[in-house]
Amino acid sequence: MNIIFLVAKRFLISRNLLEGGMINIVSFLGLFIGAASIVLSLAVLNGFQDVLGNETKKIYGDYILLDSDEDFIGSINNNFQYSPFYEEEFFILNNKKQSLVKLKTIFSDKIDNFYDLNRSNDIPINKNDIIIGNSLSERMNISIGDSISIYDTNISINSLTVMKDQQFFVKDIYQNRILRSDEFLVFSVFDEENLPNKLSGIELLGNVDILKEKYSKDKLISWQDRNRQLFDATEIEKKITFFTLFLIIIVASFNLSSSIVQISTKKTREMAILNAFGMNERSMSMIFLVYGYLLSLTAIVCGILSALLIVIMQNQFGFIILNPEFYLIDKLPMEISFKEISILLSFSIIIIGIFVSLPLLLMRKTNPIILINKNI
Amino acid sequence: MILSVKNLKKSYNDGETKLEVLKDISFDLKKGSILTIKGPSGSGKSTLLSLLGTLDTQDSGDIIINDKNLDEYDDFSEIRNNHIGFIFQFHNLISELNVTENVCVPAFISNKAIDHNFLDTLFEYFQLTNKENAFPLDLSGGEKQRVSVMRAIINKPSIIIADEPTGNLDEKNALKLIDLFKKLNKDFGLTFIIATHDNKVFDIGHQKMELSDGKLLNL
Ligand SMILES: Nc1ncnc2c1ncn2[C@@H]1O[C@H](COP(=O)(O)OP(=O)(O)OP(=O)(O)O)[C@@H](O)[C@H]1O
Ligand SMILES: [Mg+2]
Repeated sequence: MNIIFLVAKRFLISRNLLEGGMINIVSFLGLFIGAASIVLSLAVLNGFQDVLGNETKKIYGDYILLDSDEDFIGSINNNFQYSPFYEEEFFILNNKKQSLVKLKTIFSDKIDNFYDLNRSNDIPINKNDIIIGNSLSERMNISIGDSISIYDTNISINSLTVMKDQQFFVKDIYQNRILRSDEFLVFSVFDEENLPNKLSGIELLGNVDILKEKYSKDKLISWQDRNRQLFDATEIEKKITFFTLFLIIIVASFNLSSSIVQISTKKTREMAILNAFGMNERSMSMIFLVYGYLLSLTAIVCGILSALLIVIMQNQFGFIILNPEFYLIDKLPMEISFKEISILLSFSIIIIGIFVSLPLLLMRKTNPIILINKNI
Repeated sequence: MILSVKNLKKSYNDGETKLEVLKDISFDLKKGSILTIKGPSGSGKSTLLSLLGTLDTQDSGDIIINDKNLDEYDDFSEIRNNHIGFIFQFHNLISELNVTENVCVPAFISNKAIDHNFLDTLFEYFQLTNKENAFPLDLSGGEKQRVSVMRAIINKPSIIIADEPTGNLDEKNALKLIDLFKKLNKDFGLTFIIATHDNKVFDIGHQKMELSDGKLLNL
């Protein structure tokens, strides 16, 4: 049995648990709460990031390949799906309300095979049919069965030129609030006899490793890169959350220093005895170092485990519910990231190391003789 | 010689006045013998023992343990661990550790494997079987002191230094401890240096000395 560990452990968990005093309890709670809140907050942010990702992929796919040869993509026998599309901006007018939309034209079989539009009804879409987003339908007061006109954006409304318009029949309404897409993104299908001579790109779902060899990063773009701003923002939010909550751990570590000072002044007699029986200075300091680490790591690990338990329970039973109108989903999403937990642990170990060592460096050495001879 | 002391001097600076406690102490001690020291309170017995036990350092003079001068060491912790066993007036057990752990502290510190047979023998010898897992708070004064003797000898040290070992015991327990010292000396050939006020303890010495006015006199 390692004497350093044994003594540190017994100092920490003495027979009278309360002997450790309030300071230990406060240190423990601070670190516990700090660790738990970091893990929980990051789990929620990860959860939402995940929701964001899933919702985005439903309408944009995993990757987009710009300027490509559809025949070539089709010829590769592979494990991804693809959907060529053509995209153009138009105005739509209805009841004197006007809106700028992006009309995304795709092959009709891809509507339900490739995209996941959460449509109101699953009837087939033909040419000159259009699927609009829920928000757009509410704002423009358009419902299923209406007929709408769309106008080319290249022609000014004021000009005397007769505006080129195209009639569409609103066949369905989809739901996807990610990136406000259901306000501006509308879908229609290609007229198979009259395909455009140029595509905007091909969206891809699945494993596209085979394409990565052939296409550069600015041709083959992932959904994250396509929505870089949004995902950078969520990443920054995660970092800010992490460091803000890590302050709790830092403040609790101040308290840890007090715990070390307290225990080391309380246990001078014991240390004198150990010193008399041959324990050297280094090992004596190690006892308090181990004491500090035992106290703080137990608190942090307990905090992490409690948070993980809450995450697992939430994913299992979903006891924290959300308004889906607002949040897209009906229960709080939580996802564990072990990478972030290990970052948390390593940062904590460093901070704890500093705050545990600090009082040891400043501590005055006491000569065992004085303590033992005076029979303290 | 297991121990040689030559011209040992020690004084304390008590503010402006310098208190000379030990003035020129010299003696030799044979392995396996018992040295008892008596002297009035304040004569410097504890001071002498702490110098011998490397808990404090002398102003001048030499202490040679097992033919090695203490001057040659930078760090005394290893000598204390292997060559010296302490018994104090107050048992000085660590209340957080149980009896066995307290006894094994010196062995733990030296990272030596615990000789469990030796340990069992010791517990029997000290009539402390069944108390192995007790904590110091649950022991009687005599039992605590016996545990502290076990702790002093667990690493089989060259010298056992005892400062008023019976000072805190009643007559009965004191006698028991005296017998134990004699027995340990006889059975294991252990070397003792004991400072005491108690004449019964003093009488077990093969070599008896009195500390008076900073000098050690053979009796
Ligand atoms: N650290 C110290 N600083 C100053 N003076 C000290 C110190 N330690 C001991 N003394 C003094 O040295 C003298 C000898 O003390 P010591 O404890 O060695 O006596 P002792 O013989 O053990 O006495 P007792 O029989 O009462 O235990 C005393 O006068 C004491 O006051
Ligand atoms: Mg004394």
